[in-house]
Amino acid sequence: MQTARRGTLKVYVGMAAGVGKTYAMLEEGQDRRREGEDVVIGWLEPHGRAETSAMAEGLEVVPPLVREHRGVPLRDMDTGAVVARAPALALVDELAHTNAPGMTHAKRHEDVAQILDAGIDVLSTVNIQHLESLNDRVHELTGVRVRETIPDRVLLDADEVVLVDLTPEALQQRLRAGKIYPAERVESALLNFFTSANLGTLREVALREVAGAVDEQSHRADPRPGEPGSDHAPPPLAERVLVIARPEHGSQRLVRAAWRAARRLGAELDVVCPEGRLDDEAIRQRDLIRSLSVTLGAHFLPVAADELADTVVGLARERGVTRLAMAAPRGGRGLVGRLRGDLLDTLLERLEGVDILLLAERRAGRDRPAG
Amino acid sequence: MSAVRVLVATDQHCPVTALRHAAALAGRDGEVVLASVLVVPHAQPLEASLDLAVADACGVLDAGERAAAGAAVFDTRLLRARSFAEGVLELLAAERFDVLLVEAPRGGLRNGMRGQFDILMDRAEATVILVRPGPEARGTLSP
Repeated sequence: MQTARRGTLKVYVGMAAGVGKTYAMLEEGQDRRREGEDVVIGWLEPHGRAETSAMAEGLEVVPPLVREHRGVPLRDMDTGAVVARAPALALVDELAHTNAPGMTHAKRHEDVAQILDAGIDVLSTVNIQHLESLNDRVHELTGVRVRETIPDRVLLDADEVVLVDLTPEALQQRLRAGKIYPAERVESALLNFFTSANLGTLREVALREVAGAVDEQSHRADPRPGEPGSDHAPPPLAERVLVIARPEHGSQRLVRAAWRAARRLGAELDVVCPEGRLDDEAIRQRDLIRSLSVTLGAHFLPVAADELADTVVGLARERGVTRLAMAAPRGGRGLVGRLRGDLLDTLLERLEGVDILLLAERRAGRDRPAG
Repeated sequence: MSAVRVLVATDQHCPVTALRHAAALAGRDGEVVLASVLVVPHAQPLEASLDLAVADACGVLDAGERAAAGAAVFDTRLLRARSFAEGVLELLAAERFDVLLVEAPRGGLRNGMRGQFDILMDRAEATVILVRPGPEARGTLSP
């Protein structure tokens, strides 16, 4: 039986609203329509921008689905209608959008997955701060918390990621010219989110993330030795260090030591923090580890404590980790020592080609309860 | 009564004498936190990599851990801020500390640190103590 081809996903990524993601998406849609492809708009958020609306002219729009919620009509993409229409290419704006209650999927990226599964190619857009792993970092750097997020996997799994780049000055100019928000919102936007510092930071974050996603795609494009789905790490383009930092006293030192190792190698650092049922002290330690990771420019990755070995192996493979750092198992026969020993045994067995650094724990002061 | 929490804040050196005093102030049930403030110049974004400075700051915290071994419960913080005082005040706003210790290197506060200390004296909610190591203070640990 022939398996239906899955559609390809191309995402236009930007550092903020107004850089021209939607415009770039529509422009490509128009180009491909001119070349004879069957193109429809699944969802478009023109935000009242004249240039955007003009670029959409002539493209077929699949009518939205309107649902009433508490007396208010809410409009969202009619995913079923897009699939039924079966175009070659669907343009779906705002990938991180959360759907209205009562829709088939909670999030638009899930709608997009359904469209891709139907063999339809998709062009979409997202701002970098909507990536789950960047949410805290962006909040910390800019003071702005984004509520609608998408898993990083969505971007990493995209077939193509395009950064729509604009200098902070050019974006501010567009804002002042009324091309992004109505006049009454411009001043407030310039003073709050659209400051030069915020935009500079977001631009750097966007450049790094897109570079990371492109790296990921290069890994996938290369034939990988060994069995499909094996636990062998992909051939890395660069060194990458992962440290397992449990939410307990002393873990900050492990993170600092791992950061130094990463720095010597010119590597990125991933800080994996296993979270189970955390008591207050463990929550505090987790927050401290997160904060330290941000300060060090490392990637903080909270994960479920259950089946930690599987999770770490999966992350190591996905992210091309070349070295893994963790606390050395304690010598005693206590539960913690046994668990860490088991974890180490599993990682040694399953992560071939990944160096494992065991970092000695140093007891500073008296023991404090650990989470 | 809650345990005494003592913050020892530093920029570029390991304040061994201040840590010793902090341990005495914290007592058996208290906690000492050593914070290294990474001052990021205004010309650079706050999250600029500043690898060498971060490495130095990590070294200060490691040295502090070694110096504090066996003393009170000890923890560390690594902060980024536009000034030393700003970093310390942000930490004081985020966490409860009863006492703040800042150690002046032998020869006194330099490089604008006097102004930073004045800001802390003026704005910090905690008791502020400036520790000036005497000539008997030895074994200063450097990163």
